[in-house]
Amino acid sequence: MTAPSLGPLLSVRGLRKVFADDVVAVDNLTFDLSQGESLAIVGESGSGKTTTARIIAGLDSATAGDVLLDGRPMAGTGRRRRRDVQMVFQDPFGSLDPRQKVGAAIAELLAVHFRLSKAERRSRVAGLLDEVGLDERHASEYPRNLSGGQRQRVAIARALALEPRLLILDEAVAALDVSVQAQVLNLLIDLRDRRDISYLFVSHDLAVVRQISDRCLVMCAGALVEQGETRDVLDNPRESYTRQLLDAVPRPGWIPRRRQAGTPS
Amino acid sequence: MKPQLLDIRRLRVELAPRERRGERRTVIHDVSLSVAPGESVGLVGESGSGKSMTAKAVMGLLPRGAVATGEILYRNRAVLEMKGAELAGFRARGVSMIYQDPRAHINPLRTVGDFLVEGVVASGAMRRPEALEAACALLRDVGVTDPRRRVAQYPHQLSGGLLQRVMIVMALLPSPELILADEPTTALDVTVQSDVMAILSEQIRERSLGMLFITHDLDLAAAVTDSLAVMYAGVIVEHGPAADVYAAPRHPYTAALLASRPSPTSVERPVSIPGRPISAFEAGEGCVFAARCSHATGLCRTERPDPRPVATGTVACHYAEELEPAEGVRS
Repeated sequence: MTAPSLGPLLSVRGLRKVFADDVVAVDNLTFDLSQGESLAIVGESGSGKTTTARIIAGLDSATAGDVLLDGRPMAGTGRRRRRDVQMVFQDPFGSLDPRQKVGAAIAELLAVHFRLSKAERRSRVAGLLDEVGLDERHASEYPRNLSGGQRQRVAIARALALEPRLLILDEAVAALDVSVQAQVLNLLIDLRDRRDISYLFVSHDLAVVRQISDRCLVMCAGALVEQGETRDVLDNPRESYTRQLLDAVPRPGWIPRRRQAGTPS
Repeated sequence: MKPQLLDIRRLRVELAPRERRGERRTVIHDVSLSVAPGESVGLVGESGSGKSMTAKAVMGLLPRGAVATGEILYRNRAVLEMKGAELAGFRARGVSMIYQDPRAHINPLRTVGDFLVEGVVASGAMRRPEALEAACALLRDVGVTDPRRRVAQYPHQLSGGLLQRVMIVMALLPSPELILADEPTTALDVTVQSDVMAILSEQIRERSLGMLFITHDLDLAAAVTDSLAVMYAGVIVEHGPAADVYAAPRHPYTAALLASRPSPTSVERPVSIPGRPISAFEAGEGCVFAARCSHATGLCRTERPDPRPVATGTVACHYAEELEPAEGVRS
């Protein structure tokens, strides 16, 4: 296993992403994430939060800047190091193969990445499903026969199968019904108690972010607006943008307000 | 009794079977609710609860082969019996619908102006030049600063928040009396949601329109409506003044739904509801929520409770009187 490092698990340095049409999605973003920490990236659409997550996961390339894992560049690293960072997406229906049974989808990953006997694989699949609150019966189902919450549990089990040190969760509970969202949120909170795993939790939902993260970054239009302990940022935001985000969340006594500034295009 | 704009009485909707010899699927078991002129009513539920299907039934837009029983009265006229010109007139002038995803409901190949005036021109209510004039005035009302430029643009050139304002203008243009808003801000960012919601509420108030506001977001609904109906698996389980339902929920489902939201102000473990939301056709004989309810007894599993008056509202629960109202949210 990897030796415990003294520095941060993940370092992002001067990250910049410019898309083909000169849209700057992420601009000079720098932050660290320590081993075992849960860090949230908060922002609205177009803030660059998902682009940042995708670059760290290796699904997109950066225009400039570095992503370091244990102080070493991630770019172009082999399978062993790629395993360390896994990602769960918003829509489990879009990230699972509709023609593959759930158990097989997890077993396939294990076969590619680990040397295991068939029996060992089967017991590992059962263990992973159990860990996310599913059982053997679900292993022989196709994704379409599962509910949204169950599918998201499968996506989490698949990510955990590779024993990642960093799990990137991109709006992972956003598409779920409220009553089911609480189940998956609690599962994620419990997993972090059981495993030595770090989260990069990308979300627009401040209430969810408060429950699941130790620290958070607030992004707007590709730039870092504010960062700090989640509680400090949400209770005493220093930046007016963060205040605006907080004020827009419906709550008791909330009155929707028109924006002060002119109409955005 | 004050005259209602919309009065839904014991609505039940069954869809045509999927296969030739399959069974009809019930999507709404029992919905009764009314909207008075100038009143905003929230219809809150999770996926599969039948809230959008209720709106479709009101518009007379149920899928082919669907059977609706009960009554839907619009100004004392039975919507379910309307046909031809009467139905067209009701849809064109009586009621307007605002959908969740404006991009999916606006033709990408036509300009914003074409989209806005198509309905009123087709129904003969206005001629095109005056319709465009009225649309521009309304766009200005909802905070679009340069309407003349906007109506000449195509949908892809507008942001989601702006497109939803275009949708609101489309809905208001024929001067309807009733607005059905189906998750109108769900696809929007929170700051944009606040903006769009403010505009919608303002227009509803100024024109004294009735609104049926359909959403999964209990907090949002409680903030912008006068009364709340909570729907689960095709049944309205609780109905009452928004502030009361929110502050002291009496149906176990409403209480559980409120408790399962992550707290926006402190770190506390959300109390999840076991299982998953079921669809109406999966519900058995008993109470639709029985399988997930911590108070359920044998009676709940065999007999479906009718809505009954409790305190300021109605609650469809056998134990509505005995159960203490849960700790809700006070505004």
